[in-house]
Amino acid sequence: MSEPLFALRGVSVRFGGLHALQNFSMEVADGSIHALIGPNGAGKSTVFNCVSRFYTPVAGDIVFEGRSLLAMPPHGIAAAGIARTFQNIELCRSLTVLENVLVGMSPRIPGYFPFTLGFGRRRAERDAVKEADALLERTGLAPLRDAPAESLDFGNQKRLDLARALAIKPRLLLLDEPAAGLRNREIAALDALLVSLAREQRITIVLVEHVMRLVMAVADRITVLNFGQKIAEGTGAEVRDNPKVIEAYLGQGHHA
Amino acid sequence: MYGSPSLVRFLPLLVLIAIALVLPGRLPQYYLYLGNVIMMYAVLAIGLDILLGWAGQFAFAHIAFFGIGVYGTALMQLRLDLPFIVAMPAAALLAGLVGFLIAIPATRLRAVYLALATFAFAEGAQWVFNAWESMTKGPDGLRLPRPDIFGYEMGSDPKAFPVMAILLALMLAATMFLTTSKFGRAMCAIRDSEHVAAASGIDVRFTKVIAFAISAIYAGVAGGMYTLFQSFANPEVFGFGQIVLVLSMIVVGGLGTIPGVLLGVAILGLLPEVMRTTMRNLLVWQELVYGIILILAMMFMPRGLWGLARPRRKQARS
Amino acid sequence: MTLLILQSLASGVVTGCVYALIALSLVIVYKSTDVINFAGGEIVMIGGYLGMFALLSLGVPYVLIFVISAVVTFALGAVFDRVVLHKVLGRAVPGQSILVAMVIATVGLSYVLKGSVRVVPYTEEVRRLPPLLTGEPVFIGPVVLQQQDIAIVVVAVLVMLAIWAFFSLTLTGKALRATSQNPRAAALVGIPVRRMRMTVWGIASALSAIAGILLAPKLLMTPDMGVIVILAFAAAIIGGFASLPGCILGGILLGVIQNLVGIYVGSNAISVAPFVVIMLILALRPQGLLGGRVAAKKV
Repeated sequence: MSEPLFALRGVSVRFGGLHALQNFSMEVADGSIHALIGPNGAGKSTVFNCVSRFYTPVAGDIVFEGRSLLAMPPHGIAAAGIARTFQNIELCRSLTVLENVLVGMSPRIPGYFPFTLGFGRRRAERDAVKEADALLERTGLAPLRDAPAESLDFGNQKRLDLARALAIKPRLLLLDEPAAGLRNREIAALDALLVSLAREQRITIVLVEHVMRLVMAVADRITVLNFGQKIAEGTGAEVRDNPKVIEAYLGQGHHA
Repeated sequence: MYGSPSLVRFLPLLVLIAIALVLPGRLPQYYLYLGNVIMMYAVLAIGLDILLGWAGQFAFAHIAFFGIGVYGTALMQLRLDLPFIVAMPAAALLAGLVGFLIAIPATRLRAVYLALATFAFAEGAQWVFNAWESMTKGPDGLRLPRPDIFGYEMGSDPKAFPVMAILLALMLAATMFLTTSKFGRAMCAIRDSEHVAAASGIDVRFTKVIAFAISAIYAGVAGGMYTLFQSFANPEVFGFGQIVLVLSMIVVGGLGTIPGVLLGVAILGLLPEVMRTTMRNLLVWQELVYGIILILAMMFMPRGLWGLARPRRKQARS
Repeated sequence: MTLLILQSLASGVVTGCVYALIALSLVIVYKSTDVINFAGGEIVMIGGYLGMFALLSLGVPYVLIFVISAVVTFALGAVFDRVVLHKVLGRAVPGQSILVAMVIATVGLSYVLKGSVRVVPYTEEVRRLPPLLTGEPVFIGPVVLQQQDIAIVVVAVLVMLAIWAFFSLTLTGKALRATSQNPRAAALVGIPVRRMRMTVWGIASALSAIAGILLAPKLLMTPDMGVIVILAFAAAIIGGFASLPGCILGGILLGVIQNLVGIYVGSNAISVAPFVVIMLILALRPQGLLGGRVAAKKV
């Protein structure tokens, strides 16, 4: 059994008296698409926020490529090769689409000293812009390159959030409700995009999601959370028929 | 906000310097004095804008660093016999260092507390300027030395004018490099969303601290510029009223935009003088007019004057 | 020596009560609207002038000048919020914290108030507001206090009790607390949020005005009196910028600290003491003495 690329082991998170996560463990295999589902408030975003190091668990460990993430500061996570999107689509609203992607690309653009004149900086910036433009092509945002991010409609803002995350050329991509608010046609496109990222570019994906259609279609493995605890794990078929899962959702239909 | 600023952008700076070399012979001293004041405020205001408008940090210690620049430049010349050309950068770097040290604890604080703590620091610094009489001569005021650069003596408005313009041009050039750099983007990212910044690999704390230090250096340079054309330094200058003035300049002009800030400096910097000459016996109305301008500006021009003058960036439809 | 300390404590409590009132006004505005009211000191000043005008020029009995001043400044604060701040709030710009604009608006207000007072001919002459009570000083144990000082404490305590009662016991008060905790939820349950904000500003201004009348006999009335606000900020910060007990504790502590600094360090250090206090507290314990733990922000 090969080592999982990414794992949470016995992670517990507390906010005052509230147990957001209790002894939560999850393993994600390299190159797979892993979904994290559960009713609202189950603690799914908390998992992501721990990985991003916005919260620190009171117990447990988070391991990526054999290294513990808990030893890193929040800005080290991107450099380690992990990117994420945000449930509330956090963007740099006053920056343009291109600039947002450049921000996402920060760890890969060399040099911090802004007064370094000379050709090094000019070339680095030019290359970065070229790469950013290519990424905007691939995600369909190229015509909006110089538009302020705040002027984008909802669907494009989501695309931008994703483009920003991809800018880092991540090994592991955490997507927080990527399908929320999307129309059926857009969900199908997202489906294809996720599969392409995982299979062709070998990006491992973990997605938190409510839209069951998407989850059943793309996920290799699903973990189910409720009240901060894992209640089920397995393939789509296994999880769908699990009585505990059905109970947790109180009968909400989730047929593919 | 990316790439290197193209050479074309530097042309206005060269024009500025050229004009500054030519004007002193042709304008009466009073106008040159006003020009010097504006140029000094421009550097001061841009420095604060970097911290407030670009990095989004609501901090008011700026005026203390200005004071360090003024007293530092003057005292290094008077006490250490350093020439102006060494004293000023040294004082500016000292201001930057103090800014750096202050920023380390200050950046841990949330917005309200950051504002109050840095404000308290600025007031504390003013008290130090007043109380440390052996160095600063306190409220009596420190007589500033006549600075010279390799024999070119300044200390009068016409003589100082071109040098002020050169310094302003240098700082504007530096600003253009700063704002189009990766660091400039990092500051904007932090301003808009610290979460995105951190998730994008930006060391938020470090960036804030460095932004503080850079902002303080600008204030220090402005302090050095002060000593070029003023003859006295008095702690009165480094008080709450001054920080409010600079803050108003950048907010009324256009927070986060260089042309906006310059516009605000020009208008609010010249306003007291305009009022003085046109409303000679109504000097006492100055505060009232100023307050009304601030309130109206905030009610009707949230993007500042520059935001009004310039159309919203092209909004593309998907 | 202990007598000196006791005396300092006593007079510290007196001034502390006034600081507490002003601090309270700053805190309730902040908690309800997230705005730091930089005009706080000027409202104190206006309150003092209004009271003095009512007493000396209109012949209103002393007790009523509190009421008049409070009512007028209540209206002033409410109108400012309704006309200015409401408009500023509606113009949020991305990439710019709306708080910057709101704070500058309050700075503008402070200049308008200061400037208005300065241009009114009435204020050209420097005057003093006579104290509420005159007469023989009172002895509490070894400590000596003016009757005025007792009056200050009594009035301040009454006002604070009234405020506490208002927020805890009346429907409007509870609605105000709800609005400050969660404006959106408050709006959803039908609380008129805009009117609540106006009320908060009104109450805060009235508090400042009362503090101004209490403070005025001890100081010279000038349009620049507003600089006292920094002491109120320090008091609020000590107390945690969060609650009424915090303001009281902070105010009294600050009053006492000021006196002790004056005795042990020197009188010229008194003016810098509040700034040092602010910096120390924010560096070491930003939530103040009574502020709660900072909640983790939901992402």
